[in-house]
Amino acid sequence: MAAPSLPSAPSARAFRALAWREATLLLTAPAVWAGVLLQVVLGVLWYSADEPRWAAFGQEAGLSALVLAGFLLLTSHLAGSRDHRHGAAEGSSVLPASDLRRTGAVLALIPVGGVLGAVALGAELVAASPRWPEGPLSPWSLAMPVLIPMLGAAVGVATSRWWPTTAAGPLTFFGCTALLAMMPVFGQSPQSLSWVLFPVLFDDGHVQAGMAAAEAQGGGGWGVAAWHAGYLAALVAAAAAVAVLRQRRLIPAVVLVLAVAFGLVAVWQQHPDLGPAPGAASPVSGSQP
Amino acid sequence: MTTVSMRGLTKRYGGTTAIADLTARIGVGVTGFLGPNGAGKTTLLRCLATALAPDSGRLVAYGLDTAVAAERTALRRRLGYLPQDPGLYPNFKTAELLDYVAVLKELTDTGRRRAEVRRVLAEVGLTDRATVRVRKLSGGMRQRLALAQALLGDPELLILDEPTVGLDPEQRMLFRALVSRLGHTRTVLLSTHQTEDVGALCERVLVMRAGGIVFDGTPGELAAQAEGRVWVSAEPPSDAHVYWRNADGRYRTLGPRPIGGEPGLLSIEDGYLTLLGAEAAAAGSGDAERVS
Repeated sequence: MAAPSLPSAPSARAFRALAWREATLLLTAPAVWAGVLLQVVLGVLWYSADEPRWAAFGQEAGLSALVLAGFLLLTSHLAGSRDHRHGAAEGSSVLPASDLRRTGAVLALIPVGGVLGAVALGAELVAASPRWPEGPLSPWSLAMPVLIPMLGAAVGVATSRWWPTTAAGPLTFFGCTALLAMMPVFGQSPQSLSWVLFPVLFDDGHVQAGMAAAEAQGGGGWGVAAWHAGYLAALVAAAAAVAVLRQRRLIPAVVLVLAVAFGLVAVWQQHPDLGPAPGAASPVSGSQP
Repeated sequence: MTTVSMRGLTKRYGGTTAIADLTARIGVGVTGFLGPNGAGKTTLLRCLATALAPDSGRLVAYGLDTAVAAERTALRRRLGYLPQDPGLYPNFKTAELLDYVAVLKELTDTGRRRAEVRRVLAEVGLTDRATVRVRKLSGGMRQRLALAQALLGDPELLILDEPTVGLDPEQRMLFRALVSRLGHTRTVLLSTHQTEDVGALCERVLVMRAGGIVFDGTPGELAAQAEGRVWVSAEPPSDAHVYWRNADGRYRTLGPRPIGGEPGLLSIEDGYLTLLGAEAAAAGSGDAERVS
C-alpha cells in the first residue's frame, strides 16, 4: 500500500523560500513605496522648519516614520490575512507549509519594514545635506526611524494572525492612531509616562541633556536614545511573539514576557535620564505628539 | 492496489452526523462520488484531504495515517486538493498565484518551480493568461486556475470537489481528457453532481446518502439499477418517479411501465435516481415535468 516517499524540502529551505516570497510581494506593493515617499516628503518638510540640529532631525524622522509604520501595518495585515479574506483557508490548510511556517514567513515583513525605514531615513539625510544637522548625536536616535516601521509591520502581522478579517487592519490602524493622538492628553511633560511611551523621541531639553550626558561618558553610556530604541525593539519582539502565540505557546510566551520586562526596564531607565536639563524651563521645542 | 483506506470513519457537526461509520478502500484510477446535497460527499473529501479531522475511525492514504501529524504532513506533500469553493487571491497574476502556491507546496528550487507553473498552466489551457490578474479571469478560467493549483507538484492523490462547476462544454471535455490521463497512474477522487462526468471518467462510483455509502460499483452497474424502470411512451404515465417530454414529443419515464411504454436506454442518472428513490428524484428533477 505504501508508495515510496517523495523527496521533501528541508523545512529551513522551504521557510526561506516562503519568507523571501512574502518579502518580495511586500517590496513590490505600490502602497508601501507610497508610504516611503510620504515619509520622506513629510520628514524633509518638517525638518526644514526646525533648527538644523540632530535632535530635531531625529524627531522629524521619527514622526515621519510613523506614516510608513501605518502603511506597513495595513499591508502586512493584508499579507497575513490573505487566505482568510479570500476564502482560501481550506485549500491552504492542506498544503505542506504549516501555519507556524506561514506565520514565520510573514514575520519576515518586520525586517523588510526596517529596510524600508532605513531607505527613507537615508533619503531624508541626503535631503538634509544642505542644512546638515549639528549638535550632540546619539546613533541610537537614528535607529528610531528604522524601528518604528518595523513596529508597524509587527503589529499588522500580529493582528492578521488573531483577527484576519478585512476590517481588522484598518480598525487596528485607527486604534493605534487614536492611541498615539491621545497620549499628549495624559501628560505633556517629559516626566510623564505617555511622553516616554510615545514611539518618537522628542527634541526637548531633557533628551538633549541625556544625549549630552551619554556623549560625555564617551558614548559608552546607554543614554535616553538607546533606552528608547530598546523600548521600541521590545515592542517589536512582543508583537512578533503575540503573532506566533497563535500556533505555539511556550517559546513565544517566554519571549513575550522577556520583551515586556525589558520594555518596562527601558521605560524606567528613561525617567532618571529625563531629569530637568540645565536651563530648560520649557521642556518642549519642535513638534509634539 | 489500494492507495486510500478508511475504516469506521465518522464525522459529526454538533448533533448532525455528516458521515457515519464509513469503510472503503480505493485504488489508482478515477473514483466518483455521487449523492444528493447533504449526503456527506464534501465532508468525506475534506477528511481525505486532511482539511478536516474525523471524530472517529482511521484514514490511511499511501501508507500514511492522517491522525499522525508527521504522516499527515507527508501525505500533504503528495496531495492535490480542489475544494468546492477554491479561494483565489484576486490581485495576484495567474502565474504569480501558482508560483506562490508552489512555494507553499515546498517547491523551493526556482527553476523547477517556474517550469512546474508553466506545465500546469498548459495543462489547464491558461498559458496565454499567465500575466492576467485573477480578478479579470472569467468564472470558468478561475475554476481551471483552481484546478491548476491542485495539479502543482504532480500529486499522487488528487481530490476534486465539484471541479466542473462553471466550465463550458469545451472546457469540460479538456478537463475530462486531463483527469482520465491522470487516472492511469494516480488516485483521483471526484465529487460531482454531473453524472455525465462520472460516466465518462470513473472506473468506480460510490453513491452516498445520509453519510453512508449506498452503492459501490462501476458506472455500468449503477446504470443497471434502473433496469426495467426506464420507458419511452407516447402518453405521459400516471405514476412514476420522474418523467419528461423528449424533443421528439415522446415521454421518457423512470418508474413503472406506462401504457404503451417501450424500454429506454439506461443512463447513470436513471440508476442514481432509482437507487436514491423519491428523495433524489425531488432533488434532481429540475427538468422534470412531474415528480411523484
